[in-house]
Amino acid sequence: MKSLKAASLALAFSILAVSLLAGCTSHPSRVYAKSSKAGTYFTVPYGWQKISQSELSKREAQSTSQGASDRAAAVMWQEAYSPSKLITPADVFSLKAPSSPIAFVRVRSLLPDEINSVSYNFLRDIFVPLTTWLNSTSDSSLAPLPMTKFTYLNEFEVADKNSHGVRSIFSFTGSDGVSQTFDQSALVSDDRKVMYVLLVRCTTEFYQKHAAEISKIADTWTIRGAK
Amino acid sequence: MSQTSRPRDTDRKTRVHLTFFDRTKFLALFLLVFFVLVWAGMADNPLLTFSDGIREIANSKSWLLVLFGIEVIRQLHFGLAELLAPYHGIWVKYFNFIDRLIHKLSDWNRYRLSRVIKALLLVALLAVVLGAIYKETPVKALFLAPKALWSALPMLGQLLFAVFFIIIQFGAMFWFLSRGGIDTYFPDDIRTRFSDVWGQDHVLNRIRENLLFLESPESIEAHGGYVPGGLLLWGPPGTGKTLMAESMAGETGKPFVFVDPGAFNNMFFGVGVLKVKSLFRKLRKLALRYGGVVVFFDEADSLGNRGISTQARSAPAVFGEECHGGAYLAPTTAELLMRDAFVAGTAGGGGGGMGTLQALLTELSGLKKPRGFFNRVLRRALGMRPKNPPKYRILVVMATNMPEALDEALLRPGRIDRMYRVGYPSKAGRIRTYEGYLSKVSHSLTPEDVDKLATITPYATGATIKDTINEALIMAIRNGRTSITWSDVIKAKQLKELGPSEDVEYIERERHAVAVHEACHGVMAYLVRHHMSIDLATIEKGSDYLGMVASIPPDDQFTRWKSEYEADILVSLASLAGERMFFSGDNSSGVSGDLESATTIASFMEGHWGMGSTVSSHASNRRFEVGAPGGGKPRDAKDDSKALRVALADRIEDNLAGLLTKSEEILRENRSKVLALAHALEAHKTISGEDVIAVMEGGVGPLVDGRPYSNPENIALIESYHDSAVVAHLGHKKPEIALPVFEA
Repeated sequence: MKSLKAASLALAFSILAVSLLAGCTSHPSRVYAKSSKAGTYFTVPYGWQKISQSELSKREAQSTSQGASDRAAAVMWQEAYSPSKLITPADVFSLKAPSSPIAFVRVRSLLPDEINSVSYNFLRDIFVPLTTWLNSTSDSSLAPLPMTKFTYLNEFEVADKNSHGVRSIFSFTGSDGVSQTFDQSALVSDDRKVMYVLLVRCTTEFYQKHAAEISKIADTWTIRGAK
Repeated sequence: MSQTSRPRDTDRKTRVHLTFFDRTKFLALFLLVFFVLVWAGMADNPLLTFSDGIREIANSKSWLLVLFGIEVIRQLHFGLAELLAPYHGIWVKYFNFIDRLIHKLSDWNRYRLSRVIKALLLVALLAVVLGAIYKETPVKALFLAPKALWSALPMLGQLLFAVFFIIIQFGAMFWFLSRGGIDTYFPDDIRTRFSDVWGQDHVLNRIRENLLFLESPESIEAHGGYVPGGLLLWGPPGTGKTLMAESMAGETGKPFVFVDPGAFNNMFFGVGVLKVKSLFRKLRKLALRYGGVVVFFDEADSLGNRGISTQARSAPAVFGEECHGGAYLAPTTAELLMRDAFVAGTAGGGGGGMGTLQALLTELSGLKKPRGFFNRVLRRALGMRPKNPPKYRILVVMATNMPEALDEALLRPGRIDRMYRVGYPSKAGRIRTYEGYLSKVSHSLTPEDVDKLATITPYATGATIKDTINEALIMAIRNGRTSITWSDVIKAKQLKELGPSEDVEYIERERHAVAVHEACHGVMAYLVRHHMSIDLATIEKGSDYLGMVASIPPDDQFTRWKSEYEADILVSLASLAGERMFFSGDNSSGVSGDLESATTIASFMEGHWGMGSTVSSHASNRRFEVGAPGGGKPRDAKDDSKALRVALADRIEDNLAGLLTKSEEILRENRSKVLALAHALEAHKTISGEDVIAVMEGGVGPLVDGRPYSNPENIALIESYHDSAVVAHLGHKKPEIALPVFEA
């Protein structure tokens, strides 16, 4: 009888373990993006596809703008996520409104001349000349870029362990005539050596339907700093 | 009320029940690994929730789940086998079937196959591990391994080196010291066959049988028996034991491992044990590979005794000086007496001691140990029993000339199953051996000559026969011939038995004294010792004797009787009696050897062979320390002297005194014969047995014409010569009369 008891106990034990695991073979709730090297983590909704660092770096290498190669060399980590497989690295780097939302993260060390000039304005202007736009909201004719209907939706100051910066949410209409919304977070480490940028952008139409989802991505953004 | 034993594995209907721990240990391990990985992931990513972590690890490390599932199935299978007899029965039949299939391959092939599979598995495991470390494909990572090893070596190497520095030194030293001493001969390295061993057919037939079992063990195992695994060849040196072992190696077609007898003498404790173990490891490998192996331990007594001799033996009886007293005894008796002296002295010491013998005993028949890391450790971890090793066909042959020095644990059946005495060859064997060696040289001996030769060399062994023929050839060559004649052989035999004669010439009075001494021996031997015939008599000085009368038994007889031993004593004492008689009470120290042998025989007669006045055996008395019968202090000093002389030594003395008197009488009656023989010896220096008979009986021998000695006038001449010699002896002068010369 003792052996029977032991046998049944073992059986129960194994069933428990198996069910525990079986119950969890459903997919995770979110996709976890992280770089332990850069110490940066965030999550995007399950189902979003990753565009890897190698693909992005390859695309960036083709850029001919001034100082691009220096900046490319300074990149520690960059990745992009999008629910659609149709988004290419070219789409990530262009300012045209994307057909699907793109979450783009980039961590790079600051170049020597940048270290001295880093400021919140610098951080805001990382993708588009936001400061200038802000200063000339009413007068669209003064805008350097062909842009219309700029709306500054929100701004937060964000501070994390060892880093601080600003998060800006705004929308504008570009040359292609489609309005898109940017949720951009740009932080710099306290020793001003590394810059962390997360940009989530989508069409304004999409944003109005899924604002919470888009916001959550930037909400989860955590910076621990390089180990 | 009989007690029942624990049921055997094959008697059970269901599987042995496992303990709870054994059932769950792997499941627990896998769960632990899983949750450790989850925890690691969560530590790495601060955003990762527990449930998402589980999902993540389950997806990325799905192999863990697979292993878990396999283990669950396995445990269910075990559980069913423990509860349901039919289920267990089916599996047992299945495994037996697989076993039989696999065993169709020979043991060696199975071993090779398993070796290859294990090597491949290890390489695959290494590749996977390296692939995980380097984040490459496993195969590519394998090629990165040397670089990894090289870069890790400094740290790893320093660590290991520091820890194992002394251990490596000692280990290497012991391993190195334990090498050597073992030679392996493969089939066809050896050309000797049974037909090259002569004179020991009865042993060879038995050995042939043993070899048959080695070749085809099924012939006995199919009927429920087992193959005898050990053989001991014992006997006097030179009888062909090593040659027989070599011929076994040649006949059997299996590898033959020769173990050097000195191999187990070692400086440090434990090296001998290592040697034994490494030897048997090698034997097992060879046995698997070639289907059987023969191992030969020569001079096994260096290995086979435990060190201290358990019995103390009686006083030694070493021969040698002056009269070469030992030559009057048959070699078997001489052996017996010498062996007594030596066993107490051999004490195994460095060879057998310190556990070497014990290791040997265990290897010969200890428990059947399962071997191999995978077999023992892995199978047990998985809850299976290790497989027993295959049957190793090892035939152990030992040779020694001192079997009583071997430990009795070695000699029990199961270790040494057969003990064959390889003794002195019989006459037929000797003839065959002589013919064998003679056929290699050119000779002019007839078959009758060979027969006669075999008769007069009763204790010749193969080695001595070979040596004699060789010596005869050398003699022939020295005389400018290349073909051996009868006289060459006889001279060679004499040379072997007596040693080369020294080139010294005695002065007359000493020559006469020696001749009289030997003549006494010769006459007594002729008169009373009928169980042996005289081979030769000489007064030529040898290395350790002044003169010699050698006798040989004409037939192979294996028992000795009281009358024969008394005759032996009479012959030994004849010299003392004769010297006293012929030299007016004076006697030389040359009788010491004779007295020693006479006393030894008398002691044995009294104390061991029941030929005296007591019955109890002195050997047993000594062992139990009860003392000899009749010994002890005299109760009253006033007792009759005869009553006092009841101790053993006294009885021996009495016996000898009686026999001395008897020999004096015999010699006195045959005075003329003694002097005649002495004259013949002085004239011819060395004469054969037939010559002695000729002198005694007045016939004609090969060298000596004995007829003159029947003539009383000649006898008178001899007597007067003797008297003058006695006068010369007393006055230390040359005898006035020269040795008379007789014509036929």
